[in-house]
Formats: sequence, C-alpha cells, structure tokens
Amino acid sequence: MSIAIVCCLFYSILIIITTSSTTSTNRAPLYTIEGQIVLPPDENNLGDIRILVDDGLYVGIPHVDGTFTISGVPSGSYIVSVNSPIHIFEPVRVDINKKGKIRARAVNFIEPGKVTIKKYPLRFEVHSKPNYFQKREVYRVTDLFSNPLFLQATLLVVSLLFLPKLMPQGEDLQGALQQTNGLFQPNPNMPDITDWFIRLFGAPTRQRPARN
Amino acid sequence: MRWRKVFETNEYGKIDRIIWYDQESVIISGQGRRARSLRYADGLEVWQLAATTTNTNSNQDTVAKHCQVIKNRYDPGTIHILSDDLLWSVSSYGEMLWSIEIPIKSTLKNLFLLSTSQYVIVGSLDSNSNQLQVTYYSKQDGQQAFSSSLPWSFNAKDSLNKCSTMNNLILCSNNDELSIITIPTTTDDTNVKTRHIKASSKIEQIRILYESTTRSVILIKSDNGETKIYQFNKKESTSEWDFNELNIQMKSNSFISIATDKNLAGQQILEASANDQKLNFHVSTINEQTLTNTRSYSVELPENMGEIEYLAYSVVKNTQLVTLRMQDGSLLVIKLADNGAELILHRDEALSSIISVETFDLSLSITQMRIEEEFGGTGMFSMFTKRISSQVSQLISFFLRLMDLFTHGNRNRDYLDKQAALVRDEFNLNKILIVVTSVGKVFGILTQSGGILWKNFFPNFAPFEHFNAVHVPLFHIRSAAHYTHEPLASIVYRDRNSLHDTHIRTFNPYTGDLENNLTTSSLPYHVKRVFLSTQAVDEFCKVLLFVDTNNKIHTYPPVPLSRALSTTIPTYIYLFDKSEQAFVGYYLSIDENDQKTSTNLKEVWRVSFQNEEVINIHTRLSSDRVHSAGIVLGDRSVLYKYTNPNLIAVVTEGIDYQKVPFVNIYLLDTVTGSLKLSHTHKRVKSPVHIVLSENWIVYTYYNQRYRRYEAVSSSLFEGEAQYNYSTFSSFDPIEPVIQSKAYILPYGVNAIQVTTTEKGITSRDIIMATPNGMLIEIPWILFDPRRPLDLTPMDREEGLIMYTPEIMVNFESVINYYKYVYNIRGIHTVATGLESTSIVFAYGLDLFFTRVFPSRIFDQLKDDFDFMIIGWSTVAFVVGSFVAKRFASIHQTKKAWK
Repeated sequence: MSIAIVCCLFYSILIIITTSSTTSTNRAPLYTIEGQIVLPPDENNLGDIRILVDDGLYVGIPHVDGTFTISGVPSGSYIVSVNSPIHIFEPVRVDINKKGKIRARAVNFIEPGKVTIKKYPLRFEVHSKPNYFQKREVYRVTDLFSNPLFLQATLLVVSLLFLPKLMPQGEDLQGALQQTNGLFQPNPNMPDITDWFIRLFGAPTRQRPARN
Repeated sequence: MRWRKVFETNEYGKIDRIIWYDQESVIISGQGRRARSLRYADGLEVWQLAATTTNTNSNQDTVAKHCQVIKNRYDPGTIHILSDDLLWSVSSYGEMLWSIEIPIKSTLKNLFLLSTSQYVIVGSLDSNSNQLQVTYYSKQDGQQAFSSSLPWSFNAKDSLNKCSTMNNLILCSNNDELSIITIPTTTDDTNVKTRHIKASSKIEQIRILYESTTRSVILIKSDNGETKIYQFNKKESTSEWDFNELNIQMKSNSFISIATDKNLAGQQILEASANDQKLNFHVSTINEQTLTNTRSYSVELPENMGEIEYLAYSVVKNTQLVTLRMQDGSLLVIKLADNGAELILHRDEALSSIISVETFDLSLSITQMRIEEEFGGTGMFSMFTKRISSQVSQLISFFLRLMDLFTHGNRNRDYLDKQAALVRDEFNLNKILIVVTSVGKVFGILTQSGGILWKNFFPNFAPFEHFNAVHVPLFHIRSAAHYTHEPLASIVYRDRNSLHDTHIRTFNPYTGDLENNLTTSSLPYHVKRVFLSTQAVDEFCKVLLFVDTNNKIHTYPPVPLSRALSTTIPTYIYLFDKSEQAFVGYYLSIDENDQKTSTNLKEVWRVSFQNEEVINIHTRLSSDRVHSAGIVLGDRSVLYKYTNPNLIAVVTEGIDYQKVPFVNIYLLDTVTGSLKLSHTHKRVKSPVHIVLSENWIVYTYYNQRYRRYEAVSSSLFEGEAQYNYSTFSSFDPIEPVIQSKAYILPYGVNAIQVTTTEKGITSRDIIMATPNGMLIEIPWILFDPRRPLDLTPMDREEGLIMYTPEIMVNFESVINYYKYVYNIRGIHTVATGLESTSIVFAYGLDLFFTRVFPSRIFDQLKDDFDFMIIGWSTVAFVVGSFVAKRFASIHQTKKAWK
C-alpha cells in the first residue's frame, strides 16, 4: 500500500516537472487524502461506513484495516467526514495548498478562518454513539416520590391527621376544625350517584324503611 | 443483498468499466480518472488509485470527454486506461505502473486504445488532415517507442460511435460496409491492412461478443434487422486475423451473449429475445462454422417488461445463468437447467428513478360506505327508512360475519387481510402511493407495508423537461371521496420516438387498470403546459387543460371551458419562455354561455430576466393549509400573515460584472407579475432547495466564501391590520413586510420539504435529506425569521427562541434511525385523518416512508397506553363506591340507634 502511494507521489512530481517545461496546456496536479478510522475492537464493522469529502463530492470506502485513501483530489479546502449509522465521528477540514502540502484542522462553521490544527494523516476515532430514540416514560413508584406535588399531598395528609392532636384544645379552634371537617362531610343536598343508581335500577324497597 | 457501496452522484462516481478478477473487481469510474478495487467478500476497498493530474483548461469541459479502458489480453493483471489526454496503467494489485500525457488539440483526439504483449497503442485522429496517428508506448514504462500514421476515410465526428477496437483491430462501419483495420503489433512490420465486409444494408451496431488473444466473435446489426456473427481467428505467428461468418439464424430483436468456461468443451452462445411477457433463449455450442447442440428455453415473465437492454450469459460451476436488464429497469437472473428455465431473481430497479409521486386515500369499507349512505336522502320519511334499512343491514352483516367466524374459523383469514389492506383505516393513515419512474414504469405502493400492489409499464415513455430536471405530470382526476365511483389518476408524457406527441394515460390507482375512455395517444396540438381544471365536470371527474405552442388552451376530454373553470373567479396562467428567460402571465376570459372547448390566451404581464438564467421554480404544495391568519404577539396584538396563494419562488443564477457568481431568489405573484421578494446571494452555489408554505419561504444553498451550507428563512406579513379578512386578492394594494434571517446548517442538503397536516393547526417541521444518509426533522420555529437577537420577556411570552446562527441538529430528530438512505432526490408529504400526523415519503436511490408528529401526539393515546388498568380501576371504583355506600349506611344507622 505504502509503496503504491510513494510511487504515485513520485509520478506526480515527475509529471509536474515535465509538464511545466514542455506543454502549454494547464495541468493541475491531483492529490490523495489519507486517513484511518479507529473503531472499538468489539465493533469492527466497517461495512456501513462511508467517507464523504464535501458532502459527496468524493466518496471513500474503508480498507480492511480501517485506513482509507481518497485520490484524485485537486488542491483546495475540503470537509472530510466519516459517516456511519452507529457511530459519530467529528468531521475534519483538510486544506491542500497549490504545492500539495496537506494540513488538517477542526471544522468551525461559525468562524471559518479559525485554525485549530489536527493530525494528518487523518485519524477518526469514535466520538460518541448517536441516540436516535427518546427514552420511553415508564411508570415507576420512585417517580411518584420524586414528584413535588406528591410531597405536598403527603404533607397535607400528615398535617390533617396529626394537627388536631397537636393543637391545644381551644374552644374556637375546635369549632373551626369542625367546620373544616364539615367540608368533607357529604352534602345531603348533593345528588348521590349510588342513590341515583338505586332509584334507576329499582333496588329492593325494603332497604328504605331499614335506613329510616 | 450482501453489501452495497454507493458512489458519488456526480461524474466522478459514474462507472466506466468493471474488470472482474477472482477475489475482487477493479472499477474504473469518473471517465477513466479513478480506479478502485473492491473485494467480493465484504465490499471493502483493497486499493484506490487516481490520475495524478487533471486538465484545467476550462474550454475543454464543453467537449464531451472520452475514455477507454482495456485489460491487456496478454497480461491480464494490467489495465490500461485512456482518459482524454491521459494514458495510465495500473496493475490488478494496486500499483500505478506509469502515467503519461498525450497532448490533444481541438483537431486531434485520442480515440482508440489497443494493447499487445509489448506495447500500448493509441490511435489519435487528426481531423485536419484526416490521418490516424498510431503511437506505440512501451507497456513496461510508458515510453513512446515509435509512431506511424495512416489515412482515415471515415467521418471524424462520429468515428467513436461507429468504431470498436478488438485486440489489434479497429472495426469501423461506414454505411453498409465494415472495415477491419489491422494495426501492426511489432516494429518490424509496419503494414496496415484494411479489409471489408459487406452487409445488406446500413450497419447500425457492431458489438464485440467475445475477445481473447487468439479468437474473437463480433456481431453486426444492420438497420433492416439483419444480424450477422463473425468469428475471428488469429493467424499463427503474425498479427493478422482470419474471419468467417457463423451460420446462425436470428430474430431481429434478439440479443446475443457468449460464455466460456474451463469445464465447457467449447464456447456457448446464447440468443435471447423478448416477446410480450415471454423470454426465449437458444443455447448452442460454437463449432468451426456452425452451431451445434442447440437447446431452447423459454420463461414466462410476471409482467410486461419491454425489450432486453442488456444481456450477460455466464456459466458458474456448471450452472448456466443469464442476467438481463430490461427496458423497464428490471434486473432478472434466470437459471437454465435441464428441466427448463427458471426465474430466480427479479428486482424492480426502476424504483430508484422515481420522478413523480402522488398519494391516494384508500377506499371506504362497505360498512363505512353504508354509514355514508345512511345520512343521504332527502325528506323526513326517506331519511328515516334509509336509516332503518342500513342499520338492519349492518346488523345482518354483523351476524353473517359471526357465523362465518364460527363455521370457517381462520381459513379465509389471508383473503380477509388482503381485502383489509385496501380499505381505509379509521384515521386514514394508510394510503396508496402512485409513483412514476423515468423509464416509464408506474407503481402502486401500499404505504403500510411498502408492498407493490400493481405495476404498469408504458414502453414509449419519455418525461417532459422542466427547467434542469425531468418531470411527469400526475393528476388526481377523481379523488377517493366519491365512494360510488372509483378514483382515477392521469399521467401525461411524451413519446420516446417523436417528442412532440403527447400521451395521456388514465388509470384506477387501486388496481392500475387503464380507463380507456380517458386514454389517448393523439392530441392534435403540441403541448407546452398541462394543468388540472378547478371544477369537476362529469361524474366528479376533473379534466386536463393543455396550453399548446400557439398559446391556445384546450381541454381533454373536450368539454366547454366554462364548465371546467370557474366563471366567477378569473383565471390567470403563467408560462415560462426559455429563449427569452421570461415569465409571461396570461388572462383567460370565459363567457358563461360559451361552449368553446379551446380559446386563445391574452398576455397581461411579462417578467424577463437579463444577465441571469432561471434555473428552477418552486410552487407551494397544493395541500398547503393556513389555519390562522395571524400571529398573536407578546403584547396581545396580532401580526397578520401575508398568505398569497399565487406566489411562486424563482431561482436564477448568473455572473456579475466583477466575475462573481450569484444566485437570486424571487417571489413572483403569478396573477399580477409583481415581485414580492428578491434576495441576492453572492459567491453562492446552487442547487437551491426551497420550501414555500403559508407566508414563509425557507431555502438552502452552499456558500462558497465561507464554505458551508446555509439556509435563509423569510416571512411575509401584512402588518398590524388585515386588508381584507375574508378573501385574498393579488390585486389588493398590500406591500408585504418581509423579515429574514440566515442560518448555518450542519450538513449539506439533498432535498427539503415541509410537513403537511389536514387543517394546518399542527406546527410545521422541515424534513431535510442530507448527503450522509439522514432524514432530519427540524421544527420550523428554529428557522423562524422573527427569532430575536436578545430575548425580551414579550418574545418569551410569544414562545420565540433566541437567535443563534447555527441550527443544532439532535440525533433524536433523525427520523430514519439506523436505516440511512442515500441520494434522496425528493420528499413527498401528505396529511392524514389525524391532525397531529403527517406522512413522509422520501425517494431517490433509496425509498423511505414514515409518519411524523410535528407537535407530538396530541390527538392519540400513546402506544403503550394501558387499557386494562384504566378499565379495571374504573370497575373497581364503581364496585368500591357501592360497598362503601353500604358500609356508610350501616354506620349511620348504628349512629342513629345510639
């Protein structure tokens, strides 16, 4: 592999020299972007990975060992991104100058002029795994406890149960408590659903005298 | 499918030739500029090499580039590639052997590439002197050894189409004559020999069926349908060849392929021909002059697939396999065995070339139809009887179904399931997708399963050109709403052979059956534009309206224009004149009593573009609904939207006086011809993808200056007051207030679309297909041009988000999860019966279908909603209340006794 690249570079140099001296046609040299994808050893699945240069201007396919080459690229600035449905890799901007010098830097869309140099040949490591799914909410008892409303409710219940016992047995307070108790007493004027059902389905009439 | 590798969509990814080896194959793409080797086992790359220089002369791009790739017959591990002016050789194990340049001029073209055991020979044609320069390069290092030239008597322009190369022969056809030019292979022998074969009529095609260092077989096809096969044998120790005709009788439409295998005694020749829905094969062994052991096979095809386009015959481990590509894009693999031929693989590859999509609602079920009928009728008595009778019939059918269930059990379950698949579900979520592909095959696809319901192939199909793309008009002639009539869809396309002829095909979208009354191949005018009538005419059918090249409007089927179009609302039509780069608006005046079926158009406005070229237009979706006329601001005042339904977006491209490329976006009112919005972007590259909906537009482009993808969002508002709250007219003197913001996108864009819901109440999401295979759902509020730079409490009250230039994409908004889809060309969205739900269908190389919920599921229960718990707890409460009541009454009685 490395021999081939050396060869190819050698020829490109050779051709630059010959073309500049002999012909008048404008010929621009083409370069090769190289890099390596490093996957965790247990997930060594390179089959789904595509390397995109400038969103598909050039498409690379990884080799067995995770390295890749994208050849035939003229000088310029490109974004090299490694795409896989199961891994996220950070894209890298690769600048190839007119002399064929290649440098890599971090992609920064907001400040395109900012230069944060990265290593070349490129090395892509798994940044994180994409999370496509929202976690489904499941009912758990602990959720109930963590709810602030539940805390309020328990506090209220506790205070209802224990406050009357802690309170001094003041006459007026007792009255007030009785009034509040009255709130929870069934209102005799309210139509009651059980009564309604009984009336509707004609419950045994003997209950009525028993109650009175 | 074991693996798949998707190459570039541009020229660089176009495959020129594939050379097959034992373990891997070498793929030459990009017109001979790149060679890469892929392993068969897993599709991973073994090596990649590319040409080391490129020609930057810009005027060269206009000339069609030409490339030839050959495998050296004497050294099968070496591949020679001639790419325009570059000649390079690679070895099959990934070594760049050498690369040289051969200068070309406009009059000098490198056309032919031949190889021998010692030399690589390039034939370059000098059209000035009509000479073919034959240059010999050393196979080892590419050094030029010597050159010679010979007179060339053929037309310089189409030499490439009419000539083929084979070993050291150049075969050229000239009318009814085939010339065989022998190029000498060694330096001592410089004699160029030319011999001729006469055909009975003009030669159409020369194909090389088989090529080896000592034997070759070619096919000559004449335009009268006569096909001849010649066998070439190399003479001992010379570079000359003998040839003789093979005695074979062939049909005019048959294809030929030859297979060789070590195990085979000789070569086998396969003749294949398509006949309606049948493929016929004849396999023979080639002897000296004749064919022996002819065996015939035939295989019945499941549908009409047109003619054969490509044929390959191979013998793998004693199994005879035939691979075919048909005219309709189908890929077929057929196994030939002693007991006959068998179709072992059929793939509809046409589905990767979809150009038009429409969705149809499924039909109502019988019970749903009865319910619809129940509320029909007029008068109290008839309504009452209808209601009673339909309810009785419902009861009867319920009992019949119960009986059926008891007697037959699950036996006819499959049949019922199949029937149920075609019936509309409760919320109208499942639909039928009608897709038209560029090869002329139309599919009906069920959305719930993706299964193909029916397919129709129209052999003489050619799509219309639409700016820089192709399209086929596809219309709902009659929708599924009229349950008593079957729905109808129409497509309009041109004839492949005579592009001025227009065909109309009308079919039932549920079955694909053609409706012959509304199908025609002969319109007496040349169609410029086609659209659908606004009003239904007979039996709820709409009619097609055609504008011909003389700016006359016609109806099909011929009905009076006054019935097809509204006479109360005036009709305006716009057309685009490509030669003048102008949009022209026409007014159509219809008299109510007029019975004319065609009339002339009157020009009312004209918008022409100078120094810029219109590259695309974009219209809003016909299903676009606007629910609210305004936005309630934080201070409880209302900002009214400018919702002009007549707007179209126009994209133009050009180069300004400083040689800076620019892209302009306009919003054009197609009734008045006025421009409501115009944006200029300098140093920007198309393609521009647009979404136009309600009162806003979002478009994306590539910014060359900052080398990033950007999106611009603009909204149009009437202001604090509304001019006319009931109806909108383009003639109202409203000057819309425009608000715009630009955003940076994290990925490139292949296609973009907005979600559609039934009433337009649900908030909008933008669906974006990216080149890396994702479909991303981005809420429109992230693109809102009113996002403030600093957030005031009032903005917060309104629900605005603070402006950030970058649009952040969360992976949770990727709607295709792990199933990445590549090279998406379009996205189709449809509303469903549920307001929260929109259907998304993305098409391109891959197809993807899903449902999205832009405002979450607000009108449905969750999937995991526990009906049991709710049901049982309700029962428990009722029972509990009875018990408690009893206890309470006992308690009270006891209390009363105290």
